[in-house]
Amino acid sequence: MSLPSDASQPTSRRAARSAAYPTVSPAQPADPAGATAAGAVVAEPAIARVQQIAGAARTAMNSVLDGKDHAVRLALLALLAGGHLLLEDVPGVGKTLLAKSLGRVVDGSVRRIQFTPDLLPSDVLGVSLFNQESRQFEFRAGPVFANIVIADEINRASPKTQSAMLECMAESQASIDGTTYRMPDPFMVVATQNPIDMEGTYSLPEAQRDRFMARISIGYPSAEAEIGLLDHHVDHDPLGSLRPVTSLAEILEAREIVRHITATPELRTYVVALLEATRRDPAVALGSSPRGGVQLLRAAKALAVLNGRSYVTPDDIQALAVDVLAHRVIPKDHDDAQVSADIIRAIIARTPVR
Amino acid sequence: MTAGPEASSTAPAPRTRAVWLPSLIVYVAMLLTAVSLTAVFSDTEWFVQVIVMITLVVVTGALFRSVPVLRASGMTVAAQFVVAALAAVYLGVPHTLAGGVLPTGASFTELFAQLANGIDDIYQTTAPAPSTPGFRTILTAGFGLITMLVDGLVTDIRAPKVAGILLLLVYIVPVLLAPRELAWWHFAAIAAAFLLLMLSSYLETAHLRSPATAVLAGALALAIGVGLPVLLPDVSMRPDRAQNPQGDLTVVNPFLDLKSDLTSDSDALAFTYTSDDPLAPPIRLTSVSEFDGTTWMPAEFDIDPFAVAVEGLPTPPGVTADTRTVDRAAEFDIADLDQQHLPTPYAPQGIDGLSRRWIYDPETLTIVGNGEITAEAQYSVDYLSIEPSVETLRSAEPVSATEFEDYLRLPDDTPDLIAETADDVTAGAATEWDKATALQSYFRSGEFEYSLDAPPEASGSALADFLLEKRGYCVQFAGGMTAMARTLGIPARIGVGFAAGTSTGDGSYEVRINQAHAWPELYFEGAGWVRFEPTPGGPAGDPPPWTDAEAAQSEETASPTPTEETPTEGPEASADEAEAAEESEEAADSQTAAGIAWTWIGVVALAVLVLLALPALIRRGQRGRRLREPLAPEAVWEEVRALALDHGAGLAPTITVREHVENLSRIAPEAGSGLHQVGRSVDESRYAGTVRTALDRGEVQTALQELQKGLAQQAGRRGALLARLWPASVFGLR
Repeated sequence: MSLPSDASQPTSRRAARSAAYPTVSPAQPADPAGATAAGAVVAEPAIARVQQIAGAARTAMNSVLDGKDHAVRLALLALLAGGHLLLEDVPGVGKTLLAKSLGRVVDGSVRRIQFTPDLLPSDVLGVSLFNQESRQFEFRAGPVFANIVIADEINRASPKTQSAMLECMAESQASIDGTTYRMPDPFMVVATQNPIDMEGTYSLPEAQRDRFMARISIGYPSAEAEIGLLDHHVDHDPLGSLRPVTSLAEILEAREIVRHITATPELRTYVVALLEATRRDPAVALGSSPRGGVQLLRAAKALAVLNGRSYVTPDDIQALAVDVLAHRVIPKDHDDAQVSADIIRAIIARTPVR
Repeated sequence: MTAGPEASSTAPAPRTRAVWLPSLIVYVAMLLTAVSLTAVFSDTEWFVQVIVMITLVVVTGALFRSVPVLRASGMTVAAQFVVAALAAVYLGVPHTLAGGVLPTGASFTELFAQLANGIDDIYQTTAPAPSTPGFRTILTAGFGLITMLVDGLVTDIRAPKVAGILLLLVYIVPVLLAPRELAWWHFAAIAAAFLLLMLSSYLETAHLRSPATAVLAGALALAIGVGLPVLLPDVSMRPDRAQNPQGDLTVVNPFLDLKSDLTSDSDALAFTYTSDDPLAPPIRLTSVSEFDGTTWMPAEFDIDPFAVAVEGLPTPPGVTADTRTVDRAAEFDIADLDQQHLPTPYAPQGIDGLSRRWIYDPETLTIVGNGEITAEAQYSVDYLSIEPSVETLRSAEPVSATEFEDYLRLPDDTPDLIAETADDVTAGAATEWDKATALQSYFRSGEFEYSLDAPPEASGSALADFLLEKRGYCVQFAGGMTAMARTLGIPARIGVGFAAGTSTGDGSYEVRINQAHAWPELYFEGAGWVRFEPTPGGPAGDPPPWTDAEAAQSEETASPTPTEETPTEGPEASADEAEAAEESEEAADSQTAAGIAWTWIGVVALAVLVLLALPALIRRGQRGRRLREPLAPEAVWEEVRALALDHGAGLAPTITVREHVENLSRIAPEAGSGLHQVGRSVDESRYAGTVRTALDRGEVQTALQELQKGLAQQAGRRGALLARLWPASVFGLR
């Protein structure tokens, strides 16, 4: 690998190559997780506990979402890593079900916002109403104030509403009438999006796509799973049997543990090499942002914990690169999830691990 | 002169020692070499087997060289090979012997299987390893082969330098495989073995009186030698070699052979020749002129490859126009003589029928084969028969002492008796020639007895002993007269070759090995080098006419036609034959020549083998370094990568360690758990900052063995063999 191991000291070549972005490494202070010192190794029991929580949640969710283990896993990863999830798929494959079951198993508040073209920002954030009795303005919180927010068909909303939503995601807070309101903790947005070329959609701008940790598509169920689905979901509410397997407090604790997972300089060098490759790739119009690297490393930390490790390996990075990076690169020819994914896979296949 | 160390009372003694001493040297050197290999192994079971093998090979060689019947068979190398092969079977695969005694075909199949196992073991162990049966078989077989080569090189060919280099090649093995286990004494052992070989020619000719002094001398030589290793090769090569500054042409000193095998009863035909020379001069091989107190040796000369004998030789030094010379010719047909020196009468002027590789020394007119030997040669020689008149010789001016310094030099410790005797004998002689003839007369006066029983070594110098005991053979007579002439200021040297031989009556002569001869040659201004004949018996002929004062008197009036001279050699030679049967040239010459060819083939083959084995050896060394205690994850991983690369399945750098481990575990399922352990520790060392997975050596070893098996299976027979012999990872891991 030709990159310097100290990624915070960019070479001039790198600087020139990545002129589209200020050169920021995943190890920057902006990334609280990456700042973890390598010496502070997370203890085995803590990891085992997180593993156990995640395992239980996964089992529970899989019982509802038969054959969607990848999506379930990634949803849990995003939750543990403190990221947001973008589900991109045709309607009716279980996007909402996934988001709802996630909210149910962690015993958190779940709110669903159906985005429509006429949805206003105040419909999302809430409004201040004048209380006649107390003669004061009172804030009535909108549906975004919940632990898990399902933003259904986010690309159908007007850009203005989208942007209000995305501010909440980025800042974990909302400013309404000059007052700042913090989001509950944990706060996670699971947005769903119909494929871009469907009617009545406003394409999600790159800058806003970038705020999601990962983009996944659920995909049609297998024939077997679909038969089971017909059998099951027609008669009863699939969520009815789902019981919480953990608590919000445990999730917050798990997030703290994930933050302290070790990522050595050697590993960060690998991440940066992948990011660089997305920017250098001739088939790419715009490569991944540095935030992509930050998110990738965070997600990889969560994956490392799920794999029972106190440190991130390139395996974690490689396993997540497509889901975390694909929606951040814009191919020259055809902005399509499949094309982007292929580009990322090719980059992994040609970037040396060390 | 007397023949230094060989001058003991009985004939068998020198012969026995001459054969057994080099064998003993080879034996000790090989044992020392084996000691240097102990670094590679953790036990000594192999060592015992190797000692048995070395002993058998050396003893077989010595027996075949010392027992006349066996020596005549010329089967030394073959016998050693058979013994070594049998020993390898008995030591390595005793269970295959039929009835516990007879080797069967299965024995050798099994032996080769064992060798293959040994190669496997090389890969699957790190030094110091226990010696497995496979290792032991490789070692015994290898040592058998190397001992044969070294034995042949030292004993037959007298090329201890090459033998020493062979031993140093053996030392490469521990250096590559077990550098950390090597202690100073491993080096000391191999150095001592090397030195011993370098000193072997000295030890053979040294003045050894008892085993105790032999041991002492050897120890002393070693001690000195350790300090002066650089000087050694030159010094030790000198006694029996002409030096060639550019190349490796070595010339055996025929004078040493002559005396070392005097009592041989071989009457093998050396060569025949036809000549009409009535003087029937002895047939000369070369002359020796340097005397160090024990040994006479040829003066060093720079071998000039352009001094080609077939292009003609220069006129003999010192011969002026007014000296009577006769142009003569002789036809030679060599039979059983393998020599680097060409037999010719003195002074050869032209050779016909030989290759351009025969070159001459202009000073002695010795003709030497540069990579050629006389075997089967047929050639004609034009030579100048120098027949000076007594007048010429008598009137010769004394020579310049500085110009002939080399031919007048005697060692400082030469006993005074020699000079005193010379003065007594020549008292009253007026000229140099008179002195010379007086010396010859002294030896031929009847006081001296021709005997192959050399005088016993009682006093300090065998030379003086000879003068007191008055018994000896041509070597002592020629040496004695030469030394005495030098004390009188007459330049002198010893001609070495054969007596004129037995006339068959039709102008041709048969010369047998046991008619080897030596005679003094004295220098007279105007006549050059003039032959004398002090030896009063044996194969020696009559003294030449110019050394006989009375005959010269009568001859002065008679017309000196050559035909008047009666060739006395015919009857005399046959009369002397019974006695002369004892004095002979090295009978094993033909065997030696065959040995030379085979040994060189062996050396080349071994060198090629070593070169071919080098990548495998280096690979093994790398493996040893990687698997050093304590096991380092990255180092072990390197070995895994190397193994994969060796088998043509290099690990792509874009794949993670874990994936590689998964892939390799599929190829070699048995290696799975060990490989996972390694992979985990590598990941930890790279990505966790601390390694918490402890590598278990046993598990790692098993994993690597299994991995190799799996990879070999995948690579196919050819791929697996290539991986062994020519491992790609030696040339870089990426």
